[in-house]
Amino acid sequence: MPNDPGTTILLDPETATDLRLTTPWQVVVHDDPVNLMGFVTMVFRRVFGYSEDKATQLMLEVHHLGESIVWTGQREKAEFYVAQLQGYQLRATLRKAS
Amino acid sequence: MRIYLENDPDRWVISDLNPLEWLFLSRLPSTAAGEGMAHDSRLRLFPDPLTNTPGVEPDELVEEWKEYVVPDLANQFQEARETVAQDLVSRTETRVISLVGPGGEEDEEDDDSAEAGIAADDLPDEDFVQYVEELFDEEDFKDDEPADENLESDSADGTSATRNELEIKTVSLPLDHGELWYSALNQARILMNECWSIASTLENFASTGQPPEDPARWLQMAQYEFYSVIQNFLLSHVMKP
Repeated sequence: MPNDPGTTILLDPETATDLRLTTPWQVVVHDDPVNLMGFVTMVFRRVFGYSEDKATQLMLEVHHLGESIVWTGQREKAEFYVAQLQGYQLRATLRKAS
Repeated sequence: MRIYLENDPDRWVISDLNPLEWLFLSRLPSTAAGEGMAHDSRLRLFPDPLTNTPGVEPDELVEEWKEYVVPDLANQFQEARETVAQDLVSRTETRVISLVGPGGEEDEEDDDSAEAGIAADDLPDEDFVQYVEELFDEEDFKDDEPADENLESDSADGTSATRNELEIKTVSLPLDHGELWYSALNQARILMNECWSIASTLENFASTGQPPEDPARWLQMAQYEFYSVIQNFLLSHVMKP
């Protein structure tokens, strides 16, 4: 239902906190000249369970654009994924979604 | 070098390694460990976990990462290097083959080179291999010690090649070591690139056709590509998604 135009919405501080906590995190993989393209695709399939098509598309994004957001979600899980990707020696980081 | 899968038992095999190829392979554990390279190169294997994250306390996360994640990664990488080092010692066989003598006549006592499908002309001259070993010991490589005892003139398995003979190595490996080998090969290539910018050297070579003037650079490039060939094989034939 649309708000009345004259109404001011006040955020409940607790709700605001909850929103901040649930702000998604992104797992970002950065391009590097060493890792073989087929290997990067295979790692995306293993770590995230992506189809070959999706994993290939993300790998090509990394290759052509310099980086790709390969997963978005909760911080703890994002940290877990980044650790796994680094275990495969990919240049992976996490960042808070804007 | 030949690289292939074999059944009964299932394994992957790197065979017919000439002395130069064996030199590259036996250097894998030390290269992957970054021996002789600037310490900063190894940081590439342990990147900071955060990028551009306003409002997040980076120190806290990075500190936790260093405390819990980095040691775990370091252990994983070390296990891969140790497995490769052990495989190179325990799963390597050596054959000594005869080369064409100085007068051009072939040594009739040993015709293994023909059996192995190796033409003497395809094999590196012993002087060249020695030259390469010396290059490895020069400033750019800074490796004072050979990777293992097999690099000495007498092999660990007791074989010893004379001037008109050549040691040919074969390494037979279990399929479940493939992942660890890939990891070690990747560590080595990442560190080599970090330290010596091999990828851009290769790119330059591909676009201009001009090899690097410095023999050490050429050698690093060859070693880097040699590792890449094995990685491609593992990716296509041994590792599963």
